[in-house]
Amino acid sequence: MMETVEILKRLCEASYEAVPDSETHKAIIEIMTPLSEKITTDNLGNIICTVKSEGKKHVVLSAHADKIGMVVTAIDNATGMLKVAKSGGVDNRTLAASRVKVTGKKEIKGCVTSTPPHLTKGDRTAVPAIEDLYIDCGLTYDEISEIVSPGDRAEYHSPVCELLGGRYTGAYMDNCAGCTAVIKACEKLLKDGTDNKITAIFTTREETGKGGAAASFTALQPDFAFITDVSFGRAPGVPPEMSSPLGSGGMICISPILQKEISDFLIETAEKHGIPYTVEVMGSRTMTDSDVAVTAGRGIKTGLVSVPLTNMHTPVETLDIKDVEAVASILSAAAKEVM
Amino acid sequence: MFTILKELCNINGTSGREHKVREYIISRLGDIPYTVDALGSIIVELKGKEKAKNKVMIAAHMDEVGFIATYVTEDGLIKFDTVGGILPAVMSGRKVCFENGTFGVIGSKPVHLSSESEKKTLLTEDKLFIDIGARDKKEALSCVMPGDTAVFAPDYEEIGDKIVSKALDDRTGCAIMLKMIEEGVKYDTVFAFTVQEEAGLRGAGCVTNRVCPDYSIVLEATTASDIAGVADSSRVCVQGEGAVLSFMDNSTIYDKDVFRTALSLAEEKGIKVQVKTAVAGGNDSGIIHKSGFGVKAAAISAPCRYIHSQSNMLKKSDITACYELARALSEKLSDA
Repeated sequence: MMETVEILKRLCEASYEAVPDSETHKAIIEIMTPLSEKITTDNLGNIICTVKSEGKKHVVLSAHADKIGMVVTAIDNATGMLKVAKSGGVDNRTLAASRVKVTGKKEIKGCVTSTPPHLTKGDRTAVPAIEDLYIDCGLTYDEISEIVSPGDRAEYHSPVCELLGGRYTGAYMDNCAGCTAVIKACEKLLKDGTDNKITAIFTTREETGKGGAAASFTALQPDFAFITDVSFGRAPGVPPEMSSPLGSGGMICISPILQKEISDFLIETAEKHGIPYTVEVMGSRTMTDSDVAVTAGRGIKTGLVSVPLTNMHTPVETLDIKDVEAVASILSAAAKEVM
Repeated sequence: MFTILKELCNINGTSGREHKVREYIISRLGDIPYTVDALGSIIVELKGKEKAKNKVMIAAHMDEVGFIATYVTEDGLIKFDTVGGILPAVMSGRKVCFENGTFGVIGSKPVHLSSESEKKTLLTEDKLFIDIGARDKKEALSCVMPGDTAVFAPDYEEIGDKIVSKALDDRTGCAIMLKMIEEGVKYDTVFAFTVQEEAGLRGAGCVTNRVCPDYSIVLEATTASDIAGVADSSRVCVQGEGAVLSFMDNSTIYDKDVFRTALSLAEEKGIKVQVKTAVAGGNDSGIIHKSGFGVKAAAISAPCRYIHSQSNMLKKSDITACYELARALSEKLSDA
């Protein structure tokens, strides 16, 4: 059994390339294999793990496994630098001079260009547009053309690093934190036993419009879906009503688009087991896979529990590992006890 | 030289806090005599095989740009100022490392919750904070006190013939000098590893007043803008075209004779050299040439992309050209 941090680190640092070649997906499948009776992938690359194939109610635990990043659109003839477009909501304010890795025929390291001081025209605070940034891998056009082609993917290279008191920072906590919580919940369910049928899914395309989850949920049509993602951690400038402090446990969502009885059930479950949690209230869509899961097929009873995260969509996404464990505990208890 | 450069780059040493770099350099000097001055610069008066006609001082700075903690909030977040010039574009979302090994991140409000105007404006250091994971002021203060300094977290990478790292400015100059010292010199030569260049050329003047050289050669990294989307005339210098010679920058008008000598020497010896095509930036020459009894100054720089960020990028062949030119020029000037 892998430690929570080990799983998180492994998933965060594995490159995410178009499936089925994604190192992230390979890592998930490898870690889930001993926990699953069967693992399949569907047309959109979602990973479907049958953890327990028989049972009273069918419960799906789900996290999106895709990552934000960039896609190479062209190679500059003169310099060999890569022109890119964004794939998902990359924060332009953190791109200049950031380290990246590019997954072409092999993985290579590089950095994003930054405008030299003498060319900033006195405006130190203008955010560079993605059109003005390139990726510099230090290679000439001829050298890089052998490795990288338009359509290849680039992503932040920012390995997981430990801060004080069980907090960790790095790129792609969103949503490797959720994937890790699902994995740990499956471990707990197998250890404690359950009368329910359990499936774990790791979805694609959440960051680019939630295209992956609907297909899996429609195909599986489970009785219940418990979804986990990241949400806003408390930080300067972040409204308290939209965030929870790191270390305060899982964020259980209440939203008009999710069944209230499921949110209440999750809260009762956390209370009953003494698992730390906070309540996150939204007026409409949750901007997670829950939005499409709840209306998939004939409709699914859906709950959302999130890991609080600061600096979302930057190379220094920061979380408290205890929150990942709290989410795993809520998910496993809920999956075991729901009826 | 490149192994030493990697080790030098990974050391934490902002302006005024160069002691770990200094200890490393002194450890490499072995039995060679040296002096550390009141500000912390190292001066090595290296004996050559012959006496020099003119006194030549070669200099590079030990410090790097970074951050200094100014205040800790009740929430345990660290307010900071920059040490040296760091553009807002390369600050948000970076990992930093304090001298005692405590890691932190420069955090910001998530893009999802930012207004359109916030998305278009970079936050400056007065509005940013460093998060070390502390839950409150007390926990933060147990690791970081106001006055403690941090640098971009070390992440040295080699890609082909290129090096990407923090602090290549100017551990590169330090590494070249260490190589020259270890190999020995033909004429008596003074080597100065200076402090506080990034804080406004503070250390090199005192060194020059002590040494009183006739000539100075500053070894540096200078801005290369040879990146996609920049016109040829704005590139300043170009990677792969060799050592960069300056005729003038924001801090110095370089000695014309020395500049010409360096160019012809490079041609004669087959060393790749280019001229810096902009009056921009500055280096320790700015204080050196005005100190002592006045000094005929030269600057030899490696063309560096993304200077003053976590990702300085240099080409090894350019560093080698700087080394070769520094050796040739110092010998020529010593015997002129």
